[in-house]
Amino acid sequence: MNELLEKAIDKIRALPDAEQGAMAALILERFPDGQRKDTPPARPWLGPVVPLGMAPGDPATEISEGEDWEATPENAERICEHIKALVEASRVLEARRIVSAIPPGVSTELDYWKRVLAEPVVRVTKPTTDGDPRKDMLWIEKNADKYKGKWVALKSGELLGNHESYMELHRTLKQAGKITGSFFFRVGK
Amino acid sequence: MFKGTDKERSEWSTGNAAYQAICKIDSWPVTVAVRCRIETLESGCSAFLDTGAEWSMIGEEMAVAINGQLGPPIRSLTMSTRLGTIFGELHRVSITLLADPGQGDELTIESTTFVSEEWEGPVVLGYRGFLERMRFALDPGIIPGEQIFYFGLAE
Repeated sequence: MNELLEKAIDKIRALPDAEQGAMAALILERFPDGQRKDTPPARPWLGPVVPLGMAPGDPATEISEGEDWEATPENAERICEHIKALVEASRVLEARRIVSAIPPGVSTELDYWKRVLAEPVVRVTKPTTDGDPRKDMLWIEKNADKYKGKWVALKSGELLGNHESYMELHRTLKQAGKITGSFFFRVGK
Repeated sequence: MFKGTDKERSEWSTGNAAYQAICKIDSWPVTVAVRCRIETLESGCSAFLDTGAEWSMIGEEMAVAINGQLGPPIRSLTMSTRLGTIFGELHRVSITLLADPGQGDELTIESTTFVSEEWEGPVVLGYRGFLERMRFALDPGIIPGEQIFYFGLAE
């Protein structure tokens, strides 16, 4: 056990019963789940990180409780490894919580993780579709068999073009001025 | 499902569009296919709406098409998918859900998407980094062809 914690427990044990009770209540009130209520964890990546289904020694567990990892350029590489391991283990919320507490500018890669792990930003935008998508669906149902293995470009149920390469079809339609509002669909082989 | 008055509940969706149920995109069977636009491409495409997928995904052809709009690859990682484990990178990718004409506005999500040259499946719209911050509902309709995908801001 941590030496400081042992000293604190000894001091509490030396208190009269009533004061011990008050101290326990205060601790439980302020640290209901091991974290202070009123302040966010200064270094959230220091929490116990052995997850369900992962054994100690897995990459995601390399930063263990008690290690003091400040978000400095020197520590950035190891923190990034930890973030990567968390993401690969589908522990995205945990990884997001860690990077959100790290200020920008510590390292290029930490900034990258901050950017890609941020919550999605959603906005309403004006409609740009002027074709009739239902006619495209009907066209696919009726005609797709003739274009197996190809991309088809449709608009309101009209075939604008087809090609095995998405990029080539895109380029052709763009040059022909037909690309806007088109719908691309790849037909299975 | 949603708090608020009847009027507010009926107005949560900002747009809607027909979707395809139990169909194929390329050779891949998908349960729900919706229409979207990736980044600033001027054409739309079909995408597999998959609440069980951790991340949205795009494969090589689409990645090449929007390559100039993606940042540099910083860190490759592995992702376990229904088609096996593949390598790729997470990128911030703007994906727009297309509304049918006269059916409201589009919804653009600055999403986090797994971009992989090894991914041979369809464009996937997954939960983390995409669906987690929007409202959506699927109306299966009474007869085939009447399926409607409703979407809106989660506020």
